Amino acid sequence: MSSQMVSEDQVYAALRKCMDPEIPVNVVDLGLIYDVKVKPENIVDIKMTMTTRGCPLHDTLVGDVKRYVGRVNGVQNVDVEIVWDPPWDINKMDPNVREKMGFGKPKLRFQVDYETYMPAKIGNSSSEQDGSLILLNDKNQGYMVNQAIVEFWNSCDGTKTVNQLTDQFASKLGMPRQQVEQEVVQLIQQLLESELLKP
Amino acid sequence: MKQDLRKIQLAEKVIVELGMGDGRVLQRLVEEYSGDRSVAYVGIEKDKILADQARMRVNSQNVSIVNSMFEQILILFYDQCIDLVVMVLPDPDYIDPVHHEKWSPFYGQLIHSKLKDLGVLKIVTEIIDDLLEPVSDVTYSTQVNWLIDAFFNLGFRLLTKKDGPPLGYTSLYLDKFRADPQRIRMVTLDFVKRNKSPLPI
Repeated sequence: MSSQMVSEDQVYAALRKCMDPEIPVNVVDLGLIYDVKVKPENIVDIKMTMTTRGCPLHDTLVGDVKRYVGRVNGVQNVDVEIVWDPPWDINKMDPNVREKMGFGKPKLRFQVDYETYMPAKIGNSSSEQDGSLILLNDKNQGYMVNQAIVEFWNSCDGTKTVNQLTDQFASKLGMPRQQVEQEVVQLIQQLLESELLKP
Repeated sequence: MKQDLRKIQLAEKVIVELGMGDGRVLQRLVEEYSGDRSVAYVGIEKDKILADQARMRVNSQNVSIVNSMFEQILILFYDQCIDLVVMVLPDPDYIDPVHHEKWSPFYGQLIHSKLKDLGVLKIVTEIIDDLLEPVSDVTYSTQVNWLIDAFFNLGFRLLTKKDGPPLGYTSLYLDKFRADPQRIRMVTLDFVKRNKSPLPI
């Protein structure tokens, strides 16, 4: 038996070997591990979650975590507590894995500061005979959009920061901020690319 | 077509939209990646007029527009070569609980086999009341949970659930449905392909 204190890094290294049985991603990169504490006598407390409640792999995954961490030299016992608060979401995943799945942050050609940049619209909007909505830039290039985008574009009056626009939009849609933030940023990027906002 | 598909499948990332209509969502997907040449896009639409409209709309070297039934094209792809499959408002034949038996093999076998490990299936679908009454929260969540369970049994694990369609997505029917939010609620579900038979450790 080793008398050396086990480090949290050793525990995380072991957890990185523990793969989700269904998705080829380890439990750390998947964002399932919320906390690791090594108590005296090398007793390891792990707080983790599952991607969904009632996950059929609950027992398997907990068993695997205990097994992998239990193999670390010196570990005496592993306690795993499953927690649901905060609930898991995709933002808890490692950004590289998220990127691989196509959920990464968009590649930004225009770098905007969320706190200082105040998008200001340029161009015009028009409604076609068939009911479709068009945004036209000053070069008269048209982009077919929906009502939500027109409303967002109209709200870009140069007096609100990206963060304020995101808050306003989230409240209007009745959705959590984090759910709309990425879309708002993508939308601003696209409007900038289309020369419908002042850079 | 087969040769084109071989080329497409060599791309670093392959995104396929099934039933793309006139290509507005595909255009949005192309914009999302800001013209990244390592991404290949395939849009499949059985209606010739709509497919032609999509060709006019999304005209880029790394975008292939195919006028065909999507089952006939998907089967030509190598296994494990697609990163993202997008279906926006699929026909009830491909999503309704009533037709579950009919569409199960399409997702559980065909799409599952063509997606890479970590491949994602994105579905935007409508939830309606049988009597076309406003959709209650209970009806909405019951139907959404049924979909999540059904797709789990077909080999897909839910990654994200979002009420409503993605903000930037637009199409003829999305816009029509958006105009009637009480009676037609929409949900966006992102599923990751899961290994159907977990490996013993």
